Amino acid sequence: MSEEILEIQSEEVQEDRQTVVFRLADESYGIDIFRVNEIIRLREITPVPRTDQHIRGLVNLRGKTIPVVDLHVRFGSIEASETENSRIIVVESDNGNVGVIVDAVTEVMTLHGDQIEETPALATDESNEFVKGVAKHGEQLITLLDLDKALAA
Amino acid sequence: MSSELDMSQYIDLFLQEAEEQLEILETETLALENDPSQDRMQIIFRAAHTLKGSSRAMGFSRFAELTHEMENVLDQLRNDALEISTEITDRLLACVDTLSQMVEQIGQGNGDNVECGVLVKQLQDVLAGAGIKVEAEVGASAPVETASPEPQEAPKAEAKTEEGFPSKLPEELHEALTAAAEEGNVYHAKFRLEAECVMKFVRAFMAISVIQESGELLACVPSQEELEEEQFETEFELVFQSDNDFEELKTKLSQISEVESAWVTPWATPSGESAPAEAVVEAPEAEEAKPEPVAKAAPAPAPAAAANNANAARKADTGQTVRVDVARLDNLMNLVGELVIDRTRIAQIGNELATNFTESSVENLTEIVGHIARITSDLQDQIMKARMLPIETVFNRFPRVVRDLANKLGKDVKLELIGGDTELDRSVIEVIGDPLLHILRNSIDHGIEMPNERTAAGKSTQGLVQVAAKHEENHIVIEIRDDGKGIDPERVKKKAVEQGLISEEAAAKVSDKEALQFIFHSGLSTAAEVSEVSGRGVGMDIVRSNIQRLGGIIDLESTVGQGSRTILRLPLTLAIIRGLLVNVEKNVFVLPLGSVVETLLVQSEDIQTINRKEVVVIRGCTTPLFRLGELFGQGMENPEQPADEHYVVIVGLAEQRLGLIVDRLIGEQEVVIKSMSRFCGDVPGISGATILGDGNVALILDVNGVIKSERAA
Repeated sequence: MSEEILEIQSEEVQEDRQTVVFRLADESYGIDIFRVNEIIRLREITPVPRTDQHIRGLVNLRGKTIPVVDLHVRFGSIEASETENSRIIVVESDNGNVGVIVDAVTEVMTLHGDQIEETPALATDESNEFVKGVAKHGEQLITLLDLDKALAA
Repeated sequence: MSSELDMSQYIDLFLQEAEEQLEILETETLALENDPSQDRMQIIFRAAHTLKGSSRAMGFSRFAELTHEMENVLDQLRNDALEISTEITDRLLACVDTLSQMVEQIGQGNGDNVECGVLVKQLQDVLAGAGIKVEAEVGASAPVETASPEPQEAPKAEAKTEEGFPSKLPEELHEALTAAAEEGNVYHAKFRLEAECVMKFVRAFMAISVIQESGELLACVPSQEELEEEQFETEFELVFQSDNDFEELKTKLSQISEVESAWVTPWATPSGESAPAEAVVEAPEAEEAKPEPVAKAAPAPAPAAAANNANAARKADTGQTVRVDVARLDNLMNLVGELVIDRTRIAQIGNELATNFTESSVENLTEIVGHIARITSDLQDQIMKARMLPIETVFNRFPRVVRDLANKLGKDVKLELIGGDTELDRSVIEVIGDPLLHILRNSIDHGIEMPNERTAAGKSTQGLVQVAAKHEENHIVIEIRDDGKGIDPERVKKKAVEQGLISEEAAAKVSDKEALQFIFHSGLSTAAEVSEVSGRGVGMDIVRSNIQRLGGIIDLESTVGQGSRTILRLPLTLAIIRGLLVNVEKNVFVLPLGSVVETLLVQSEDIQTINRKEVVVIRGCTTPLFRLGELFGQGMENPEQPADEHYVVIVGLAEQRLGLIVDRLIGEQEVVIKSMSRFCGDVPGISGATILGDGNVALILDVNGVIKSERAA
């Protein structure tokens, strides 16, 4: 970890950031709370044929239809298995609201700039390109998602 | 009371009025050629006059200048000093075009920045050519006219010694006004508008803005708010302070169009005797107790009376209508859409409860649900109706286009428009104009022959193009018919072969009716030469795709030597559709009922294959089949359905028919169309989504897209 990057990082994150932390497979991920519109329970998803595989389909959000993305598929693993704890995080994107299926939403956490580090170099798999950085919170490691990249086609 | 009036507030009003008046100008000027009646002249003259007045008030001097010149010419026409000719009509129409451009520019906030000097000159030449002298306009922005150039307005200001109507100024204001009068020149103006004045507030506003040019408005009755909302009959009063010359003020105030009378007096407590110094300005029309200046100018009283009646009728109309922003209607429509969805959900829950419980409260619920259902349906109907516009708004563009085109091509064409009052949703109105225009152009350019050819073919020299609209169930059917030379299927086939759309052997087997369908392929045009109008072969394919995007069907019939007929079938609205709900695997799809022709149960053995594609023969027609499950499903077997029977929905895709095999038919339902999220991109075969009674999302099929993507695959 070079000093330079740390400096840039901390410049970017001068203030404390509220982050929504969720679980995907066995890992913790975080997204900036300002991007999150709401968190809803899993509901019936209508698949849309002939779309990218990571687009699971459409759900009814109070009379509007919004697309739902499966990050498992996006990150190159199998589809999420739905449990009692599964949630849809509704986030804002350039193309309107989008739902993201997660295995569980664990907490909302305040992260300080100095807690955030660059992605470890060993993480060279496909999912790496969607990662903004990694935050250390005690013993817990939280992968901070680059939402725009993760949702881009 | 706020005395500052911001012009920009009234731009919208001005634009609305201008558009209306321009439309009148255009339609009536076009009609003038065939029917140069006094009545019509009068209507045109008034339209130009109104435009001049309001543009002047808004400070659009070019606009005012051009309308002023038009008015001059029209006035001479009206008085029979000038004879109507194609040349004059052309020039007037060119003016209308320029004015429309100005309106557009003004709408974009650029002011009336369109060059019109040439037109002004041309109009002046028209008059000069006829040896008519008209005094030059003193200056549009400063209408201080000693002798007004408009004959109709000639003795504009006339002193009278009466006070007009009794003042309604509240007494508590008198003292303050009298006090103000001691410090400066305070005047009391009373106005009476013409009975058929359409935009009363605009007139009041014009008066106020004249006053504010040189002074300050102190009081007005009714209040400014009431004026704005047009909550007054024809009379209003303004009290103002002004340093301007009294006479000049009087002149300016009396020049506001559609003001029947204006009285201006120095301020005096109205309860007392009217001041001796009082001067009254009155427009001459009022004196004759004829609110229409028509009566003076028209030599025959009969048409004037008719015009009065027409105006009275129009007033009655406007009295009961309200202008509503389209966005508001769209919002209402969306809200009702939500309500419809919830209604269906409540009904479903009600049904579930009714099957499980027998308490009387459940019965009550069912009853209430039924009532709500009725009310929401009515509500939906009413809002749909509020969004309806007569198709006339589209038709109105046609006469001009047909005239210009026919003139350019040297053809004699008569246009008949039928069923202009047929109403349809504005969402549809907005998009059918161009396709219709295209078909119309085709009819004139390719269909109607040159006059000599027509004579040779034993037809009258004048070709007929007819556009007829009518309602048919939940659709609107528009038919464009011409009595021209028709489309030669052999030539279409030849072209299709040349373009490589079809092999020569295949072409030989194609029926005449099928051959015509090639017209809808891009790149195909049967016109021998490419003209400016058409013949480039881009067009009919675009027309077809536009119509299909609307969920419509287009059909073409033609008889060589006798003419062609294009038939469009369109839904009345795009916001809510009736759909046939079908099951494919565990998902529900909605097929727009507009494109559903029939549903069948087909036995496996009746399905044949041609070229490895499945087809079924229905009443002698070979219909291609598509399995929706294969197109859109996840490849699951449907255990419910016996393998030897298939539900088939026959859909009409523009001119062709095809069958879609589905797992189960659910039934008909009204669905509110929700656009697909941009996130999903453009999904071929899916036009949108909707929310069903159970709250789940169902996809709406775009039959055209399904087939297209299937062909491409």
